[in-house]
Amino acid sequence: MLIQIDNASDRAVYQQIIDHIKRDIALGRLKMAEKLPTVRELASLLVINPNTIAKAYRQLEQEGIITTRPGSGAFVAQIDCNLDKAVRQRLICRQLEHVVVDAVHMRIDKKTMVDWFNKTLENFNFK
Amino acid sequence: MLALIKREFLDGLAVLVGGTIYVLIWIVVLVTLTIDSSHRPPLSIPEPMIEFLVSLCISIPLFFILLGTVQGYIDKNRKVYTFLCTLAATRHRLFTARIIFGLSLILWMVLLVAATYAALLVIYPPLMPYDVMFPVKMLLTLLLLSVTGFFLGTQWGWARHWFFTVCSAILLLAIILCIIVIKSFHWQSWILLSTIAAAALIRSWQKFMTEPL
Amino acid sequence: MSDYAVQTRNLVKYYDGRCVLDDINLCVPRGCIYGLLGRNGIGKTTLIRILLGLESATRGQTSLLGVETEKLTACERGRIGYVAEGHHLIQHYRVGKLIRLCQSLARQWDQPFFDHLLSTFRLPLDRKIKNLSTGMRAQLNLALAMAINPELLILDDPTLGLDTVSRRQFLELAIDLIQNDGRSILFSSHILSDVERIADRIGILVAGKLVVDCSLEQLKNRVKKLQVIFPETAPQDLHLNEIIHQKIRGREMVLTVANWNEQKQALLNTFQPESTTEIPLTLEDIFIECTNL
Repeated sequence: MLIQIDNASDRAVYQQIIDHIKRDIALGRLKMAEKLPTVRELASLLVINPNTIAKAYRQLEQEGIITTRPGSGAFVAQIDCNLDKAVRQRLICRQLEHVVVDAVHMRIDKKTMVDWFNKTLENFNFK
Repeated sequence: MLALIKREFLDGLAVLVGGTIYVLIWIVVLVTLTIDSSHRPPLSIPEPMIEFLVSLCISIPLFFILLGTVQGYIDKNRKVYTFLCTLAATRHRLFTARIIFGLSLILWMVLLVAATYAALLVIYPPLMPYDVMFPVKMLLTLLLLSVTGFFLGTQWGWARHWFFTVCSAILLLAIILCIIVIKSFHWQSWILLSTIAAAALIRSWQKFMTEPL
Repeated sequence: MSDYAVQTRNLVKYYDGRCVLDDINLCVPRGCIYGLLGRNGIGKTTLIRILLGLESATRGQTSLLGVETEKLTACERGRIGYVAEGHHLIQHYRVGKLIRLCQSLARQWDQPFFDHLLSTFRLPLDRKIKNLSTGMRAQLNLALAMAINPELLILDDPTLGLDTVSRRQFLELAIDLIQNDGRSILFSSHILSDVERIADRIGILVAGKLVVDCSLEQLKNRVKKLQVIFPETAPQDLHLNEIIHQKIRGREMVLTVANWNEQKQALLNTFQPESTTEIPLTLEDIFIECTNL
């Protein structure tokens, strides 16, 4: 699992790891009950501090996306998000706003936006 | 600790060999002079032996003063102790190992001299009874002078202000020489020498403990 | 005190009347990789040397692994690995001789690991240390420090002289070490991308003071760079607390602020900016902003 860490990004490294794992799950690259690399393995592979990886895994576990079994490692628990609907709406809509604002500044019309949006949905197998 | 002492001896091999050769040269001169003067059986302890011991009491301590000074100076420049201090070693141990090396060398060289004297007195026994303790006292004085010289040299080797050190060194040596001349090979000299040696040792130890490496 | 791998309390150091370290209170928790940053000659090396007892402080205390520096026993020193700036080692020794010396003095020595490092770095055993390149001396120094399986590793610019591949190897070694329980690393470096990768906490020394001492994430959260566009010329009188840097050009104002919060946001909003964009900062950017004070 090769994650490209962007040090210049405003998202913390552990968040980038979380994002990447969520993305992989959504894209079907990580399947249900699949074993994730251990903290050690990932730290050695990416050459970043194991505490950062551990933090990412802890948060993923809190969100219920992965489970860790002592001695066995971390596994994909579910591909559902267990957040409250209102919270989900707030998080997603906030991101949508950023996209819309940028689109307006770049003078992209609504039809093109909808097309691109549908294409992205298809990439992720949204149903 | 043993590893540190071993390092001192291994690194100081040249000094060990050099010191031995140095003392052997003097011994050879002594023996030659003694043999020359003893085609007639000596009445008392052969004169060259006594006079020579005085020369040794200057030459050997001088060697150790130089040794202490040069060793300290080289170690500071080569930053040997800077590196050693960061390993599993404390400054106490490093200093102790250095002192053990110096004292061992002193003992070795004085022992060689003592053995030569003992041998000469056996080979050319004086006709008249003589004070056995006299050569022993002289050798003890030699030992103390060497130890004092070494500790002083070590203190000066780690000094930072050269001009002040050289001045105080000359002064101190002059004082010591006066002590020996006045008090000769007697216990008063020994007490004074021991005091100076102890003070020099404590001062070197202090310097070594606090000096930035 | 014993929870910290490294701790200083009110550390002060004067050199020839000049204050190099002014009341430094540094704490490196166990299990942490701490990156110490600062411009050349600012006192990082001095601080590290004082920690190890190579120099004495003017005032204050330092302790390593819960023990005061002056009271460290040989055994405790054996649990601390050190890579000195410049990798001086013992110049007139041969590599093999130095290795034997370190082995004889070590309390623990991982020979297989050391052999692996020697072969990875391809260090010649019969060459004199003064004839090695800086990079090779750095690798040797690192190998010697790691072979003792240290609980605490103190590294003063460890990648100085290392080529790109060796630098990556060093980072991998550091990560491997930290995976073992209770190991800690304190290192100073000028290569901020390396520090950013592996450090948990960052300390930045500026003018003798530790102006930053927090986790990398907190630092990035606290220091923000904003590009603010105003409908007409940017106001000259925008005063916020803890502005690190402010540049105005026409309608645009670029603002670097510490401890950004809602109050500051609200204050900014009273000037009615047209848009506010956050410019992501790397550690290098933050460092340059902090040290250009």
